Order: sequence, then C-alpha cells, then structure tokens
Amino acid sequence: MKIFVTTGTTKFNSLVKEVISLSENTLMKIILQCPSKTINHPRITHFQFTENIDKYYKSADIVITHAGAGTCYRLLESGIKPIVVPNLERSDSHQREIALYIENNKYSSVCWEIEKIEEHINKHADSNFIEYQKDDFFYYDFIFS
Amino acid sequence: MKTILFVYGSGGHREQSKRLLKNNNRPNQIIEMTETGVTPILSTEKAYFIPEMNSKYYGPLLSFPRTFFVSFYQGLITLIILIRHKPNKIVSTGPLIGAVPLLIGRIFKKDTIFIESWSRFSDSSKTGKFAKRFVRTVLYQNKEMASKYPNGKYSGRL
Repeated sequence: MKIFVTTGTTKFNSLVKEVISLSENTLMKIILQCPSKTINHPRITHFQFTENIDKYYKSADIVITHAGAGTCYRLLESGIKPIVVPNLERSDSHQREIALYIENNKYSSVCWEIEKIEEHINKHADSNFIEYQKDDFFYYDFIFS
Repeated sequence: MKTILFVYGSGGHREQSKRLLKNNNRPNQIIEMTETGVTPILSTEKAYFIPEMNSKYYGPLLSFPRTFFVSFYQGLITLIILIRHKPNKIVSTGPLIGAVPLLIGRIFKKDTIFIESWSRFSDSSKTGKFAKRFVRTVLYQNKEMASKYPNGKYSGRL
C-alpha cells in the first residue's frame, strides 16, 4: 500500500513521529511532505516542497493530511477522501474547525488521536463518505470590475 | 482598467488569492503584497514583500515589538504602493498581513475588501474582527459566519 502524508508549510512533529513509527511496523510505502529539512529514515521518501503535489495525491492509495483548509478542499474537490489529522499543536483553532466541518458532513475521516492513525488506515477503504459540495464563489465581478 | 492590490499570507491564504486571481478575466493591473519567502501568484516584478508579522520563532518577549516594527514598515511600503501604482481597490484574504494595507487604504478612501478565511465556521479571525470595523466590504465564505458579520456579505466558497 502506498501512503502519501502531507503537513503543508507548518511543522507537525507528532504526526511525523507517528508516520516514522508506522513505517517501522508495516510494509507500507510512505512518502512524506513536511517542512523539516531532513527526515533520515530508510523506509520513508521525504521532500519539503513540490510544485506538483497533485501527482503524489493521485498516485497514493491513501492520503493523510493535516487539516489545512487549502489542502483539504483541494483533495475533496479532486474526489480524493483523505484521512484528515488536525494539527492541534498550532495556537490557532482553524484546523479543528475544518476537521469538524469534514467530519460532521461525512466528507472524509478525521483522526483526532494520532496514535490511532493505523486504525484509520485499515478501515478507510471500507468507509462510506459523501461527495463534497460547495456554493461556488460568486463575487468575482464585484472584485474585478 | 483598474489597479488592484492583493494582500495575502502563506498557505491557504495564498491559495484563496490564487483562486481569485485565476478568475480575473478583465485587463486589470494586479499588484501583490505577501510575506517574504512566499512565491507571488502572478509576477515578482509587481510584488512587494513583508517579513512575517507574528513569527513565533522570536518568542513572546520579542514578538510584540517585532509586529509593531513590521507593521510600521508595511505602512511605509503601502504608502509607496499607493503613490506609485494608485490602486483603486485593496483586497485581502488575510491573515494579519492584510490589516495595515486595508486600514491605510480606507484612510485614503480606496475600495477595501476583506475576505474572511474559508476555514472559519464558528469564530471570526483576529484580522476579521479588526477589519470589519472600517473596510468597505467584508465577504465571508461560510454561511455559519453570518452572525459574526451582520454587515458582511456571503460570497460562496473559493
């Protein structure tokens, strides 16, 4: 199984630690995007940033993401149902808000306890989620005219 | 043709501005202001860079004076942009980097638009709480925010 993990532009040490531990106990192939300069682990492919992250989203069996709004919306719009892990290490609460929104609307699964990430991976394929829907932005003319 | 100054931070704030600018089908001149280290959306030639406002790397003792000095510097840059490019509008998708240009823009009677973050469902951002007092228009992207912005307008989500 191929797993892609993304933490966006901010550090998310507890998720990275759990991913490293996961790689040591399973045969999953893990690719990790996070802002740390080096992740020295033989079973993890790591990079800090890419212009073409969609390539990694599409080629993974499961995407695990922080609850950054941009990443979550982009994945849901592409029809990808990620495992969302809110970064509660951050001082602001917006990742909690996005995670609750996704969970309450059953758009995808949310992992509130990082140590349970493997459980989420194992049951993710059998879960039923609702297709993401939104009201498209309709103020373009107002802004650009 | 209008000149519009777009002000945005990193990550999702940049992504929201990017989605807006992708839908600009008019021959407007776009000026960008963002954080140092963030890649401008359209052009580096018409982009201005501001150090990160509330960087936690400097610790609690230095973060307040740092924010103060960065705000002052940003105010000067905003004035230079107003003189050099004469923008008709100032639009910000946050976060704190939007506050000073919107305030200065309002003082100089520019059309000012603050777009609350698409990640806000239950509480407005600090910048939103500040900017709603003076900007001409607040747009919010989630209907749940209607009570926080009684004079704002629901815009749908980017």
